[in-house]
Amino acid sequence: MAEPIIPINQQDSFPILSVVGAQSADDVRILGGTVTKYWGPATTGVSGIPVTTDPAGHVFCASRYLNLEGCSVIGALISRFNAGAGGALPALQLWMQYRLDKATVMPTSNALGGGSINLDQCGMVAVHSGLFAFAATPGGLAGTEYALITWGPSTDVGISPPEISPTTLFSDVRFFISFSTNPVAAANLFSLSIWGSS
Amino acid sequence: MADAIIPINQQNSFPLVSVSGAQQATDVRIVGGMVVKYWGPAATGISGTLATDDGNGHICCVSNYLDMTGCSNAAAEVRRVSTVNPGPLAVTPFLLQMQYRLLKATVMPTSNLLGGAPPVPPSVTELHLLQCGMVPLQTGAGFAFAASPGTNGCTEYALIPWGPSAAGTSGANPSPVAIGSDVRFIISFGSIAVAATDSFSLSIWGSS
Repeated sequence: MAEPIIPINQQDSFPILSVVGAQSADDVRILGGTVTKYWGPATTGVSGIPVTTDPAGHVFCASRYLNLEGCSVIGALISRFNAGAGGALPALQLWMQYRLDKATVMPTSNALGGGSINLDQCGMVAVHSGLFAFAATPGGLAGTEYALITWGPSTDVGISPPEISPTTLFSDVRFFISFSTNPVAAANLFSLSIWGSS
Repeated sequence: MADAIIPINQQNSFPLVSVSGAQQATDVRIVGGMVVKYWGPAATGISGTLATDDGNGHICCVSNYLDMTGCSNAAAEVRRVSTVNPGPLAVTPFLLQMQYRLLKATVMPTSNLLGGAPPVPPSVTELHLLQCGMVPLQTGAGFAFAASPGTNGCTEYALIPWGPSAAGTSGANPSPVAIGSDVRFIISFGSIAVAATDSFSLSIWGSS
């Protein structure tokens, strides 16, 4: 008897955690041709960490490069934890940055640009309009707060703001939680999770 | 006779209830490469339930976490049943909110117990739920079930559909997508009381 013939495309029903295209994700599923990937905090590299300041004075948390191949619709969840009295934070903006090739060392701030945020000079795209600010925790209590930021492809011909058109299709994409040049106390710890889908 | 050849793409016609990506859903189908999932009230966990006070003064109904892997478009149907007889009264407006979980072990808040007033439009500021990782699924002040002119108890329905949009952060520019494996929904009435004669049910349809 001949070997059973494996249906073409049956791999759509298989998880593909082991293949190159799924590297770095915590979970990858392909259902009916729809790709879904998930990166938890440990994988994004933003996992309970304080902000850092680059030589140009920009305050931010930067993720690792993630392989977002196949994903054009995204949900990002940022958490902020403060073990003490968490005061209000300056407004943040989540940015996305591609790498031209894997050997490229991309800048983390606009060392050559001016202005307050202006990270589009570094190949970054803001993934949301407006800003988000974590509010103070009332009563001087410790606590964790969350910001959910979601986006999908648009019909805009997008360059960096003001015509935001983030898509997330590539194998080397990283994210910045940017507070521009505003100071953020080291007691504030941030985590980042990413969900992506085709 | 040769073995039967399995048609190309035949898996598109299979329900995938047994695979991990389809956990919890009442029905899952892959049609033409498109994922379609359905969660009935029993699966969402909001099935003829009363709005409850979460301890911080927010009145809400909270669903189970749903595995919405593969779904970026969704429609929700909220059902209200009133047992008031005669004359079911109007219900205060509600916002349907979506909340992801950071990790499966994360206990997400159901209200802004630790958050303050965020700098967002009044309709959202009123609820203060942005600090809890929630995104409202509709703009405006919310949906209000009207009073029923009938003399008996009644059932009313609200349909709320949505899909991905270009960009958005919580609140001011809602851009809900529903692609995660741990997504739950909250029917939130803010801090306004809801009569115990009103019970609610939630169904969700999702597709890629």
